[in-house]
Amino acid sequence: ENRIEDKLLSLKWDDGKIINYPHHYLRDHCPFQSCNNPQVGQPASSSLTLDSYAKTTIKRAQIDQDNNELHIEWMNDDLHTSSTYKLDWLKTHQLVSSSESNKFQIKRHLWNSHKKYTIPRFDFNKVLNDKLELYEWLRSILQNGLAFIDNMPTETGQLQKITQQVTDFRYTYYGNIFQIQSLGENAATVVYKNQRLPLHSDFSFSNNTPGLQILHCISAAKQGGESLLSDAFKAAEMLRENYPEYFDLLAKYPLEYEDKRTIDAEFFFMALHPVISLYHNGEIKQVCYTDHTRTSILHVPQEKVVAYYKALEKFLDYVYSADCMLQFKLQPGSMMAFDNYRILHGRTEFNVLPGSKRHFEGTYLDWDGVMSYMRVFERDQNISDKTPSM
Amino acid sequence: MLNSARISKLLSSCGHLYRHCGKEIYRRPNYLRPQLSYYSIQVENRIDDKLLSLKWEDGKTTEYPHIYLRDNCPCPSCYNPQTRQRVISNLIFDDYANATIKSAHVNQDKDELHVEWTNDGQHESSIYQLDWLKDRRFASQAESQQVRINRNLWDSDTQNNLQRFDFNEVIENKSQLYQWLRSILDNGIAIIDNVPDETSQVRKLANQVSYLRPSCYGDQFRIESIGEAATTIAYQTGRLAMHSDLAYYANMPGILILHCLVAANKGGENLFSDGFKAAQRLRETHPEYFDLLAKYPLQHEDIGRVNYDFHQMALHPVIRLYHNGEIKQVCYGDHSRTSMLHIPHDDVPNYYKALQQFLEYVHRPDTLIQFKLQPGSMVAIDNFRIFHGRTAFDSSGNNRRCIEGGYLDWDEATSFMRIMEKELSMNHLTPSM
Repeated sequence: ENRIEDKLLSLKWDDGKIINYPHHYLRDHCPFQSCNNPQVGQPASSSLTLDSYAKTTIKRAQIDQDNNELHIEWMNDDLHTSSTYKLDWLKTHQLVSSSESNKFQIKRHLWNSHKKYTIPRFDFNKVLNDKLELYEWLRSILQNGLAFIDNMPTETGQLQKITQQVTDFRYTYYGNIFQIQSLGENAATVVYKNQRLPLHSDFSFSNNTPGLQILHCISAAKQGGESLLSDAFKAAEMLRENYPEYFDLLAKYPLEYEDKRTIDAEFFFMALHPVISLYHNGEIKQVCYTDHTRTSILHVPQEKVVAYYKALEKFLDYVYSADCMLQFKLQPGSMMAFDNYRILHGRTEFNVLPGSKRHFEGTYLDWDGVMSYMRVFERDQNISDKTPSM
Repeated sequence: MLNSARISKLLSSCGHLYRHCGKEIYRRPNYLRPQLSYYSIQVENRIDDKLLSLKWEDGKTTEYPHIYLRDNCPCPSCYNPQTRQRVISNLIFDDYANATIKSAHVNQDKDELHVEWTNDGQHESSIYQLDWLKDRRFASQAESQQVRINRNLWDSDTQNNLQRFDFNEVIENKSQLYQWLRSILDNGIAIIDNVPDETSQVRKLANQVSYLRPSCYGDQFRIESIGEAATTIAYQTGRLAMHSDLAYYANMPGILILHCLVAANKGGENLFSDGFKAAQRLRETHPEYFDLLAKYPLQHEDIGRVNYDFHQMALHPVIRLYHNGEIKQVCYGDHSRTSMLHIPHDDVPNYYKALQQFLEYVHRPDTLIQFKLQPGSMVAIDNFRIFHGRTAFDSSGNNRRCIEGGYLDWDEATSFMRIMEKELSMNHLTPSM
């Protein structure tokens, strides 16, 4: 049904749903050659003002059942008299109503006290040689927030054999690849000392926080040095359900982070991150929290500061709860990779005997590069469940 | 008044060398800090509310929650002076929530506040510098709306007053390099002349700051017409409408640098537009359109192959705001935005109206500038604020238009700026983007 006055084209589908497509929207995405540059797959159109899509109105619309197409005739249009759309395309581009929850994003499996013990483990040689295993490993990091690889040689230079098949390192002033070893009292940052590290995100002082963190255990501590991981998305959802006003505070006001020191070069990073970042539809996009790099500057108005601290505290209660937190000792030859947008990590304090050390090799990757690799693989392998945008 | 005891105390104090106030972040060298007289400061410990109230000499009162003061105690066991980081705790470990101030008094001679704690396992007392406390006065809801980063929005004179730098000076002199970055942050654009007619000058410049930010197009790329191999319209000869670069990356690069190696015979002029100016105008004239563009994201996509096959996708609203409503970024690209709209259908017609009005402002003469970049010149823009485009060009014959480009991220660029501000004792600290 062509509702000319409202400039909407109404389509009633076989499942009974009625979807309204604004004329403007259809004109904007006309698949015709001169509207869409086929070689590069990008619109040849320039900017809405220049082609006056706003004036275009559908004169007449008709479904061609044999070809599964919709034919449209335009009036008031300088360039076109008609356009043809595939029904499949229209089906995947159904516009929802505002009351429908627009869950379009990444399907994640949040942890609970059982789920956290069933994180997939992969074999190093298999992942190196079988592209499907490599893809499944990445899928686990995206959906579960975490994945393990076992049977790696206990020497440096191994994790890059896997990561370089996917995407480039995310280079930072801590290096392409960094070594986490106890450097004792003269260490530049708390990370390189042997004390306890509470749960935190890495690189909160960067506005472009690295997406994935990968840590390969080369040698473990004699005592202690266990890894702590927490599904902060789960913690945030628990907070949203039980204390929505605290959830809102943590989503609204940013904390300030900074890091100033010299590693590869001298640097002074500063960034702002709310503890919880949301997509426009309320879905959680990222959780970011680090005690050792957050500054004493609070961008919270006077009257909300006390409540803000209460919100932080309640959130941390959930982060450390049994449903969310996992504690284990990563063994030499094993590697963990987790989503730094979602999983907070820490470690217990440790002791090393003279002559031995606790040594982890690590690197970061960005989700942009990793997800691009996953989409290309999905396309090449005809996998229908596609990785959406971050 | 300044006396020798005060001077030596000021010179020897470490940490807290910068102040934050509502509008800008600036830093004074120790010897220039004004003498602050706190003789009339009044302290009141409101135990039941767990607030410490300080009435300043200017009449303002700030209430510091006990938990805030506990969380930010500056002593070495709470704040490590060597690593300059908070000694890790997580609020629940050390039970800051229960920390209550038993009593507090001001030590006038030393400009310090002394605080005694009850219910605290670790500490009996803490000492805070009054300067430090003053820098951390909480704003009221109304005050916290102030702009943090002041930018010079474009007007009809901008085209004639573009800041120009000399390549050798920028490479050799860090202070000039700083000014170049400052111009990109404040004005959105800066031009460098006398660039050698050789490849990799963009890389050379970027390496002075930090490092080139790589993408699926490589870390340094050439924009020239490559015929059938092109998987993006940038590498064809047509017109490019106003857009942001790499809108299909969730982490978009902050600074775009373009170096002209060969200009086109005909056409190939560069266009730039101040997206913040256009957004600001939209906010004033059509606030409901502004809200729509800030609320719903557009999806951007790029599928192709340069060094490897890629399929980038990202979501960005046209206008992105800080928590206080200040504009953080604008992002748009007709050739990169997809047909997938994450907008309820009721809002779609108005969304298109909003886009159209915004784009009309983007093309206004007092917002848009146009010129032809010549060989030997580089232009750099803030990719979070300035849209760019080009006119179609003719690439026949021997004069094949060739522009070399690269990106820097704002994190690294602002880090360099802060180091310079410290080194050159500037009265300014670039805030977080």
